Amino acid sequence: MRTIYLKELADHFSSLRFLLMASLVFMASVVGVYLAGQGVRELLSRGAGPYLEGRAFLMLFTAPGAMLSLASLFALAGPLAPLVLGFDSVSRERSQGTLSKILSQPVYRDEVLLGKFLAGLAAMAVLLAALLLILSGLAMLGLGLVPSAGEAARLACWYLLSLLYLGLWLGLAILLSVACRSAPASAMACAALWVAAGFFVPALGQTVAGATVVVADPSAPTREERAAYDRVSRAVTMASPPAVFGEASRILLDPSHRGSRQDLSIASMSRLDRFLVSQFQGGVGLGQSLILLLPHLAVLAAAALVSFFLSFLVFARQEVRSA
Amino acid sequence: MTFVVETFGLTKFYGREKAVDGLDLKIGEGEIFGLLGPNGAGKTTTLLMLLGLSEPARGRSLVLGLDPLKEPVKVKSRVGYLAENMGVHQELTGRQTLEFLAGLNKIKNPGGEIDDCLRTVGLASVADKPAGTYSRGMRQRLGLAEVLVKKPGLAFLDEPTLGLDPEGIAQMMGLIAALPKERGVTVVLSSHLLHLVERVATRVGVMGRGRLLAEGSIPELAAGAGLPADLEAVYRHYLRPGAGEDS
Repeated sequence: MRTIYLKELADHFSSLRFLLMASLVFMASVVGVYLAGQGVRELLSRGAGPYLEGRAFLMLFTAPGAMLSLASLFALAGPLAPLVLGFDSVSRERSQGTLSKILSQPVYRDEVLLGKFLAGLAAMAVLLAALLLILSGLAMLGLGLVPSAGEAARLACWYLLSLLYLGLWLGLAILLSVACRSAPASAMACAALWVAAGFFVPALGQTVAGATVVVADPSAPTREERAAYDRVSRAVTMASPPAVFGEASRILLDPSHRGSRQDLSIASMSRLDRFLVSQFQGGVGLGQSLILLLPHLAVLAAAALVSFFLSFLVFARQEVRSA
Repeated sequence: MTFVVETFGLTKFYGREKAVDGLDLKIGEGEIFGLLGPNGAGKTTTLLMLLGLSEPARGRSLVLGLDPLKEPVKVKSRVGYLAENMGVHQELTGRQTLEFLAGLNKIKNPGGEIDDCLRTVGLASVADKPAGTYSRGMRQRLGLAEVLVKKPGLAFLDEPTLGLDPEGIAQMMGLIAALPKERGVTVVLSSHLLHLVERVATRVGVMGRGRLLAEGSIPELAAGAGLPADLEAVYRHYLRPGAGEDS
């Protein structure tokens, strides 16, 4: 497995595709941080400094810039990196005729998949770490914002959470590259999956909620009706990994995250929960955030494991030569 | 004679079609065994089953005394396989390819062995160029080096001369002919080039529709059918329409 891991890692780092992807990611995030930074600077110049104590730096990731906050952008566009790295990991070996070469060596098939998976994950871990460090450096230079210890800890946790999220998508990409006979087919399948998870499922949530929740007076929905709408829409939307990850990022990166109107998690809480959450007016500690995060972590990890297990199952039963 | 390959009633279906049908094959140590037959006769499927890459529906086999179903990894570490239409990892050089293969076989310090294999197949001068730039003949010879680098006791070569020019074919056959004596490798060679097989093979097996129609040395088979000692005549005789269908 070590041999496969090292070869794949070397392939990633020397490939044009990785270079292109890395530069694209860097450009997008520098622009995002710049836009968010302008917003933060404006808040600071209006004298909001004391209120932002201990979260100004993280706002770079959560403040909506021109369109999306960096964290939401990452939830949506981040999966493209593992999909691009993984979509042809097995199907290319098959089409260039090297799969039978590898499988006729004394290795188990799960070692092949695991080596490819770990190499992709390591490549993305390096890329993401470099990205976070560079963005932090830019923010320190440009805005004079220095992360507090708490902010740094939250950012580190978010890094690990992101790796889990990217790992889930890499697992899905490998699954599709095993299941599809050709690389173009698995590319199409990956694109379809991404569109479905990123755009279709959230829209479906709104649609289902709109169709099932009865609102007596559409011009003035009651509090209960609005809560019911949010509950249904959230239940459907949470079937998509970007939604789960997006909510988890907000919990982790925004210490004051305890529910606003667009926050779906609070609307569905009981009155007691809402009371408890409102106790943390000045923001919850990292420990509390992590506890709030447990369900999200469990879901993402389970999905990653299932996708990897499925790809092994399909791969193990595949004939080397098709009939 | 000790046998390095023995199969007992090996059978394999693709869908409802019988790809290999009750195959009983014995191949002795140090042989160059020519596995012959038209396309779709079940030669490649047989080789895949012997490597443990494909599961037989019925029957069993022993390869170097091991059951490929139960110990596929052990079998694969001692058997080299040059697949039909084998590809190369475009971005790796010839030397890196062999290093990768040596790593997969957990060979420690393969440097000397790799140099030796590259010299043997005549790729030493281009060893540090990407394999994607190699010609078809060079790729096939690299494939043979990949087989040799793991020091196998047995090599399955599936159509190693497919698509090569006459000079490439001659080079490849020369390398194959030397394997048993110089490296102690038993060779199972599948090919359609009968006149070349005739020159190097100690024995041949003729397969048709998944069954072994004849097995033996060329003079034996020819004498049995009352033919001149010519492989092409033997091949045509055993694969003539209707042959073997009564049994």
